[in-house]
Amino acid sequence: MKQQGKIDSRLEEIDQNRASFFQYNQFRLQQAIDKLPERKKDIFKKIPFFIHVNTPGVPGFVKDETVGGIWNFERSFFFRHMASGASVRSVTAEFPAVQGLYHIGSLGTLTQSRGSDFDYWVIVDEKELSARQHTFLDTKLKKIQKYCRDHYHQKVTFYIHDSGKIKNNNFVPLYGENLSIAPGSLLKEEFYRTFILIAGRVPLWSVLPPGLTDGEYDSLAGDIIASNRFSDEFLDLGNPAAIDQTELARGVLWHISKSRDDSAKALIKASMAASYCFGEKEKTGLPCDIIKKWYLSSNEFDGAADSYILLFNRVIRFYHGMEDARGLDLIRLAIFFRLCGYPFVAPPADSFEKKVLGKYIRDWRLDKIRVKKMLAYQQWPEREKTILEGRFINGLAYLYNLLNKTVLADTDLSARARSEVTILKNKTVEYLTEKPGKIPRCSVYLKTRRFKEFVISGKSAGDGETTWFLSAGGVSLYSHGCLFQVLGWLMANQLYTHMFSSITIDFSVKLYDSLSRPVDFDGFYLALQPWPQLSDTFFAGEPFWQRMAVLLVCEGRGSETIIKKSEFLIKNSWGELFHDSLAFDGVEKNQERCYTVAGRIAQYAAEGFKFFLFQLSDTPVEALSDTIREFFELISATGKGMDVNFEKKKPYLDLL
Amino acid sequence: MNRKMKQAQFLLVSDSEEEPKRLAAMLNQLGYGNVYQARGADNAWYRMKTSNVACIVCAYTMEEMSGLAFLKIIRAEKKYADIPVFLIDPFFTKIKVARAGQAGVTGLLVSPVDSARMKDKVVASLDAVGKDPAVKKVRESVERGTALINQGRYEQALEVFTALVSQQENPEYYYNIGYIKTVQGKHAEAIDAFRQATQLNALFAKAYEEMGRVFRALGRPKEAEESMQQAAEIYLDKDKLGNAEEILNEILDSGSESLNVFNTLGVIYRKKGELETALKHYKKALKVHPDETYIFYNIGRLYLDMKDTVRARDYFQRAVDQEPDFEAARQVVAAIDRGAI
Repeated sequence: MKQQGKIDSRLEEIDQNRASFFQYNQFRLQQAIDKLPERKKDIFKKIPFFIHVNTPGVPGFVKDETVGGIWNFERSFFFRHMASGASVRSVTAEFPAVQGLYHIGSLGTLTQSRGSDFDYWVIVDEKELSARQHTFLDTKLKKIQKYCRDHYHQKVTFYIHDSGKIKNNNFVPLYGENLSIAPGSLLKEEFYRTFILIAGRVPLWSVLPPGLTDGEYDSLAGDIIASNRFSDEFLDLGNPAAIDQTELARGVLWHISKSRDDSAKALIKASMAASYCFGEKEKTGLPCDIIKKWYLSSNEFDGAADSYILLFNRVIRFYHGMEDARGLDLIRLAIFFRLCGYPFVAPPADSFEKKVLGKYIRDWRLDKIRVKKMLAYQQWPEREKTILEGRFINGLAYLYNLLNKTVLADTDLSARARSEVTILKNKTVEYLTEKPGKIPRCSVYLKTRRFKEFVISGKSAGDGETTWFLSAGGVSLYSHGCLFQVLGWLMANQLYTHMFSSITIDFSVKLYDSLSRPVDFDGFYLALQPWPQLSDTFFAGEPFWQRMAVLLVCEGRGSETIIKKSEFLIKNSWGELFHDSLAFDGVEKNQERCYTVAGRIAQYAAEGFKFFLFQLSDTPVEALSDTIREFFELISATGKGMDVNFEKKKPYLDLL
Repeated sequence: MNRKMKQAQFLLVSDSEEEPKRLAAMLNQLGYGNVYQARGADNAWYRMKTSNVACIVCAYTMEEMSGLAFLKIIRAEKKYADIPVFLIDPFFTKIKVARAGQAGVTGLLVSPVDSARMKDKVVASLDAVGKDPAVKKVRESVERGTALINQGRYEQALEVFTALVSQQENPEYYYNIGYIKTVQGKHAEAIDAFRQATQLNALFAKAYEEMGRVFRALGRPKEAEESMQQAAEIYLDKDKLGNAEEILNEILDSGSESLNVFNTLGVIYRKKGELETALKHYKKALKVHPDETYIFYNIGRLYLDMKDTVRARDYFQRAVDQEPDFEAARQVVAAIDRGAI
């Protein structure tokens, strides 16, 4: 009886906790929505509905009778929102595919900015879904992603997980590329610290008392299930008891490679992970537990226990503890910018954010001139912006070296863990290391802006040399003496968007492909494939050359068209883009120049290597391309003996 | 040895520093002071262009460009057709010897080379330049054989080229023999000759093309098509779209309804920018084989050119569904899903 009484009291407590959680969740959700620009607000409110229904004409529609749906969607804010504006009938499935839909990350926190991505966790019970339902869900979510990208320019990512696997800290997504993932214990802590329940079941951990050991957690979870009191309202995603020390180094690397598009964010997150390695082993418990303790004991919310304030304070303490004055200065800078909506830096509009920023400014004794200068970031010249990012990247390199000398030097790892570390290390090295000829990065600010029409103008100086200036919308972006360096910079930084952007070359002569047609830049983009490597498997080994675009800069000399100079853009298997050039000093004849170009191509050629020839010329000369190809064949000895095989032959593959 | 000969310039090409040093010392002892050393083929080529080099000794194995490839480049220039080129290697396999011979090597040197051998082979070759009756005879024979073909005197031409290949194998000689045999209606022998030519040079499109025509004359359409298809694909890889298109249309005119022909024509028209025509050919290919993975991929590729990523993705996905390990298709699907394309 006494035992039952104790259980009843615990269940009563859970009931109250549930109410507190909903209140807190509603607060976070409202914060998130209020801060979103109008168009983003619109799509944010619609996404859960698109997942839930499957109706022709509604984005995400899949021609299939299979039923998807989100558990208890009608009870969510999002159903009410959609239902208020239109006649939406219940479409709840008896066995909805999605157990829970959660948003993870900066939405609804201090650091939410207009550039924030939408990252959702979609939790299913893998075993309960048929193969057809899995395909249905995968297709549906991809269609929604595309719709958001095409119509709202909003990056949306769905991470589809199995609830049972998450419970055991296995975060390998059910569908898609098996990219390297964060160590489970870190990811689980981050999830519980930042998630917003969008629709579906409440994570059980959110309503249990904070600071439970795994044993206590399991015992209480068992009592809740046995009581039948909460039906199936909760979803058991496991207890984030402790951060696994053996995985921390991997966590730092993962944060560095994952947040590569925002070095300030990467520095903060990697520092957070490093603080578990080298910090004071926080006596106050896991940050997610602190957040929970706060919302379970508060009746009113004003953001005081914002998950990012906890994070910021933690990393500041970390650098203090390390007595690293430079690191401290850098992390303050990163935090300042993060609070001001980096890269679209502006003074915070929200009163709470203003208060937090004001406190940091006072604590750090930042003078007015410096603050003013930092707030004017958007007006900084591009070079200053990249210098700032260079400093953040140096900070990341410092953390990487710290780990490399200590934790990562530990060879006592399983083969699988070693392979994952190799991949993450190589990704980190790719991100942090400057290499000769590698196309430089532009600032995050520039990268986040969406340009449509680019103009590359060639200005010839008296000495016959040409300088190429890249601009968009009247803004000067980049300049260089080599046309392919400029084009490579545009492509490598993903400023050029396939089927959206256009490039005009304003010069006296034109750019042609090897069939003497004016260059179609979408075709050029597909030939070079300048996007970051999509598969992690390439990072398991050393990089090798994959593709090359060759430019023959030609000029008329009498009746002959000769190659004046040659440029090369080369992409390797890590997705890095490099520029190379040839000036032909002392090589007079065209034939010899063709040979020299072929020799340079052959230096890069590896198995599966492809190259594409282009000419910048008054009149394109196809014979030049033919000669180079012939020399290349001779040099690389591709024409080695082979018999005709009359066995069934596969069709010709028109590889991209 | 006369004074003039001693002024002859030698070029020693290698990645290493040691061996050329030793050879240079030997040549100096033999009375030759003008000995240049070049690291790698690039530098050697530059030296050849800027100096009056009389003889080359080149390592067979070099990192960036092999000695064999360099030899081919040298022989591709009329100016250097007769220059003595020696390849040096510690170990010559039969294949190495055969390839060097086909490429026109003057002699092979097994390292380490002693002074006597250097004198007998390398220095002696200088005397033979332009005077070597064998070299002169070969050149004259080729010219005579070609003239005889042009005059339609096939039997005599055949004799010339048969004699030539007995001395040195060369794809061009075999091609000429094949051509003569074709004209003479000796189809089986023509095929043998063309086959020899393609074995020596796998990218010899013209030889495949002619072999295909001979197969057709023999009433062996399957082999005819395969052979001509091969020729078309070589032309396609070299962006010689007109040649490729012509051959494939010839196959179609012969009544073939082949998946590969329709598909390759699809690729050609895509490259030419005639996208609708390309699509028509791919659809014809799909009628022949509705589940062919590569056709799905190629149609996806075509839709990318048509700037229709939805349909493109659909076809790439069909390729993956058909063949889950088809990495190239998987990569494109991933690129589309992430908005890179």
